[in-house]
Amino acid sequence: MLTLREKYYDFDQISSKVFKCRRDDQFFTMKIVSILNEENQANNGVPYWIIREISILKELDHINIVRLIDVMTDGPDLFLVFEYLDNEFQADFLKNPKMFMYPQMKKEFLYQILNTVAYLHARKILLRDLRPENILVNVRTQVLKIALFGAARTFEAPLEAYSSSVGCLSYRSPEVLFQFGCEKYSTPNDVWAVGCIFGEMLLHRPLFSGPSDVELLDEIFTLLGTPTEETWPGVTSICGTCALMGPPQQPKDLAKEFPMLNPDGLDLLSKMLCLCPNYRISAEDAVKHPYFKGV
Amino acid sequence: MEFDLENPFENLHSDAVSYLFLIESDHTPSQNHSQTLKARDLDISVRRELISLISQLSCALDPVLSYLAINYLDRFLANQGILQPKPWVLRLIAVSCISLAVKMMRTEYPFTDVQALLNQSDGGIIFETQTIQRMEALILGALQWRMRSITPFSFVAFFIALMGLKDLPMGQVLKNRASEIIFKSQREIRLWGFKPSIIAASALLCASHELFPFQYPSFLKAISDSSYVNKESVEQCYKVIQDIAIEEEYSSALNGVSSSDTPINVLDHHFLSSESQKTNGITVANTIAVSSPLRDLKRRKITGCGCGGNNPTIHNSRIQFSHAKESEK
Repeated sequence: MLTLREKYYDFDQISSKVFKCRRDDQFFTMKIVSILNEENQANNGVPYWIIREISILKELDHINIVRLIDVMTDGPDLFLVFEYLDNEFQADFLKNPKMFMYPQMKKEFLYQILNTVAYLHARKILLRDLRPENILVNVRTQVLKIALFGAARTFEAPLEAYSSSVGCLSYRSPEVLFQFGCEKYSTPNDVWAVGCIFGEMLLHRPLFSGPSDVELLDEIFTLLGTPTEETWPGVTSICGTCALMGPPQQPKDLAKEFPMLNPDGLDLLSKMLCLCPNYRISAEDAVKHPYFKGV
Repeated sequence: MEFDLENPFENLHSDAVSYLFLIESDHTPSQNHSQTLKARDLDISVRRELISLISQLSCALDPVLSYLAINYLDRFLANQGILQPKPWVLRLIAVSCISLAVKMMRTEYPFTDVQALLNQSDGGIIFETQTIQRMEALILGALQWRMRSITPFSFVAFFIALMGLKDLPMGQVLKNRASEIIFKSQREIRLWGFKPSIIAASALLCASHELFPFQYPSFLKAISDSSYVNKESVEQCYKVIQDIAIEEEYSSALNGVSSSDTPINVLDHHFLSSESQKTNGITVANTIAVSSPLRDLKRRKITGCGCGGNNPTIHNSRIQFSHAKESEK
């Protein structure tokens, strides 16, 4: 078995623990993860979250997912080898101003995101933390890549460490916000996140940006109306305290909030941002929506 | 990210069904490796010893966890044999396979408890953290870090739905018995090379033939008609599993009740008790399944009455059990 330095060479540091490297005529991105310095898991061998994450990444083979190609160990360090994305791939795609000039490009990118989510859900894999920071786009080729903790983020902390991040909250679904602390994620939560990203592509700003779960829920209900037992059966049992509901609000007219969107787009957006997770459209159905006719 | 190991077909996405059948070979020792292993008698005995060790060490844990650990072991052996089968090496491998299985399953066990359990003084050996980590890393590398093992349990619910027994008590009875068969047959080297879906289908057919012989033909047809299943493989696997069941009844008859110390019985006991807690109404079926005399009695009773339909069968099973109890007094 070839050692690390025999297999890969021409190392070029990108950031503290990320390198560009080469094998034959192909470039790769290599990430170093230390598996002995974990405070939480110091006494239990290889940390469980690393095994789980890598195990999932190893299963995936999709053009829109940054691919994990190789895993090597060297003493206390783990070396993750990913496909290399050149400078044409820009991180945090919603900060790219070119996005706003081409309406068709938004549709193309949205389709690729939903196609990827449908692919993952078919394999019983949940994203749980989909947000623009995890998405890279190549505007020239119109190819989008979702970095599932491989490229945009390191493995240096378990998922829980990100739970309190403000960025994460913006894309959390109402059913998750209601039960903040007990993380019972499911596929509708991922679809909600895509809906938020869709809205953000249209408005050029985050759809919801409150710094806390209470404020986020208020923003959500301001736009989509306060849920009732009629619109969301079982919501009163899910909602821990009535305080989270706030005073009853009527939904706004999405057509007026998103004037640039055609009726098909409005229909898709409203279905992705349906408050009730059971009624929310699935990723599998979303990719077949009339809005994507011609993509 | 996370995935659900135990209920991959929960929503029965058509894409998910195709996917699991497609990739299950990646999580099974291949046919070639199976033949290679059979040529090495040393590895066969080593495997038997390791399985026994894993069963002992994990007897207090979920049986599915033990199954997963043994799956890792088999894939590890298929990838590379064991050059130095020293006792402490075997124990380290067993401990590491269990540790990895615990980490992959969404288990509720605190890690400290698992660690204490694995280091119990049975063998008098306590491994350092770094030692276990190195062995874990070695096993992970051999398995190419693909630890989401597809096991027969991934397919049981799918086949039960195919047989038209989803959400029926009869389906639960079959599932319990099939799971028991799957657990016990994992030790058998002859099942190496069969895909998990084939093992699941064969175990369900064995269970249905044993518990519901009149419905067996329709169940066989439902599974054979599935485009995901190779009929010939199911027939071969079915025969092997039946042979295993026969040999097991024979050896258990010889051993009698006094063999409660062996790992097999310990695993059985835990399986029964845990299942009894989960499904109170199905305890009778499990009890019958384990006791040979009662099983024979039940079988004779069933052949006597030409009952049709699912629920009447369940009802009759309970009545017969009552009769058996009364006749003993």
